[in-house]
Amino acid sequence: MKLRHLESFLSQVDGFEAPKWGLEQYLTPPHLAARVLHCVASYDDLEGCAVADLGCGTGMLLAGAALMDCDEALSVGVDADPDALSTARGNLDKLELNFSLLQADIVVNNGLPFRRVISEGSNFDTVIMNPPFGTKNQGVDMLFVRRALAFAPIVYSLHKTSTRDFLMGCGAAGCGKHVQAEVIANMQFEIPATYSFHKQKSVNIDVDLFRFSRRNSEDMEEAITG
Amino acid sequence: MRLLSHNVLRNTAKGVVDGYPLKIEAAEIDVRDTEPDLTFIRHLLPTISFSGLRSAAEDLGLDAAAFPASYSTTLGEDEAFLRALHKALFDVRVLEGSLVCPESGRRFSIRGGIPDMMLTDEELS
Repeated sequence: MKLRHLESFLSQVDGFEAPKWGLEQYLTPPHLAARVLHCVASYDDLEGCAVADLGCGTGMLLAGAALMDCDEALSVGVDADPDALSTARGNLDKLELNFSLLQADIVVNNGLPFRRVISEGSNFDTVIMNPPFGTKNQGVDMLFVRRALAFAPIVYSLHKTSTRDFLMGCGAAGCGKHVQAEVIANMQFEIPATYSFHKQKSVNIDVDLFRFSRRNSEDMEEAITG
Repeated sequence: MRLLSHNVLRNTAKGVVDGYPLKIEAAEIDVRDTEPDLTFIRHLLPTISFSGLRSAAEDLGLDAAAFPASYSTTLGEDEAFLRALHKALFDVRVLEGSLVCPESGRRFSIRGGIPDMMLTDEELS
């Protein structure tokens, strides 16, 4: 899949009708989403994989993952906002995608409303997400990572580069020695003026694509469910 | 909501032990036949909760007796069973309706095929 083909496909994904600042809703730009997915594919964590997106918004990352041959039928987008999910559903129909959607709040709830899939140990192969940056609610970005690691052994997540030292320093999102964290790419997140308090037309924010991986899924059980 | 999703969903509210399987009250169902990938279904087999599957099949008036009460290694050899399993897990979708917790009776709505599993503050603390 050529980068520009993926990007042009993703430009058809509808964004938030009325973004909510409380949820730090920003549409992942197609340009950025395409690059994130190429990175994930280069680690062989996409094709044929059951993928989850926590805070999926209108479904940009999963739409791209589907086009790059993730296992759509086993893939799920989770979001707390019914309006975003309604747009996501429109995107599914319009682009003939086949992943599932679920409304749940992974911030206040202790993870996802799922039973553990015992024999495999994980509900998903890979989580790919662009969580809230934690600008409004401090620490929410790390909480997303912790929750994600409870349901998948590999997590790809976008974070502000300005928080890199903090994320690495606090032991891979609070999971300590049980999780390996590395920055696999540095990218630009172009945020168009979305909210009324945005003075400039658009700003570019430096973001890191993190790859978190579990070292030992049994040992870390306690660390991630806290 | 596919029955594959239903097969993992549970009520995680405080005080609820299993919250599983959720009873399905379907108002609108859509069935779309797709071609099964038998190798893939075999691979999924050990991860399926058969109690959850049978409960869902009963709720939707499907043939619950087509599914065993528990997993066994010989299931993968039965092609007719694998096809029935594929149909139940992937082809049947609940578009409108509710999921009801077997322990607390709490109802979760399904709208436009999306289950709403949001809990209130009281249910979390």
